[in-house]
Amino acid sequence: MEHDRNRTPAPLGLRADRARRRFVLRAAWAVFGVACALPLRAAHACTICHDDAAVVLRAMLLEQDPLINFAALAAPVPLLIASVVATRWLAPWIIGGRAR
Amino acid sequence: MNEMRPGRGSSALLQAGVALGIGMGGFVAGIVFHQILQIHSLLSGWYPPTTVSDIEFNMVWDGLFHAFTWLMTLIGVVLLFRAGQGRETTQCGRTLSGGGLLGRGLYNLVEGVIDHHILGVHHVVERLGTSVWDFVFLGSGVLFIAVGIALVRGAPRPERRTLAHGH
Repeated sequence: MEHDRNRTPAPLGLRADRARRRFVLRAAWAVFGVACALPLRAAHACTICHDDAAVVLRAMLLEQDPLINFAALAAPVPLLIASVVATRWLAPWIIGGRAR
Repeated sequence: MNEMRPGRGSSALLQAGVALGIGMGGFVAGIVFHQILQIHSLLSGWYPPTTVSDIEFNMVWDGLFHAFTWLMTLIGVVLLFRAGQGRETTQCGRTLSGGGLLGRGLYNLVEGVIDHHILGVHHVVERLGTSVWDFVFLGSGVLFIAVGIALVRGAPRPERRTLAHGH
């Protein structure tokens, strides 16, 4: 049962539900931003060292940077997960107006 | 709620297809490029597999990469199962395969841009470094996406193919 927003003010529960959804959406965007940026930044920092460092330092880095390697592995993951989630929102456009 | 959103079954099927496409895209890349052709590994740009220990090291990270693709495929299977339970889900192979191609294309684009061009953790043909094949990989992503969308849009209208759940 949808609330008719033109006639009466929304019931308290419905308003709270909307506020909660807005909060969750904003929080999700914030988490998504951090999830995208962190591994990318961490792994990108490594490419700078790998390009510029002296051979000895490079050898040392190559042996002891599992976190950076994991960051490189994880870097594309947030975008790929986000694209799966976004498919629901973009479905009307992708399908061509049949799904709303 | 369901009655207000006709066609959400198609959306669910499409979403499952995209998740499966990303997972299968990772498997194709891992199995064909990493293992059969051995033209690169996940971290071969940073750790050239020139010694046995480096090959072993790359193999571990290829394994972790395959673990991610397995998880993505599992998510796709779960989404497909949930889509199959929906009353409005359409049994449309075109929507599912189009979603799969869309996911495959997204995988090529995202993985290509981040891993090949931004981070340089590997390239399509590692011994060549950044080469035309990296751009072919990106181009194939765009092509997969275009063909996927075309397939989905060409799918039969859902109301004709709606599954009968107790009707």
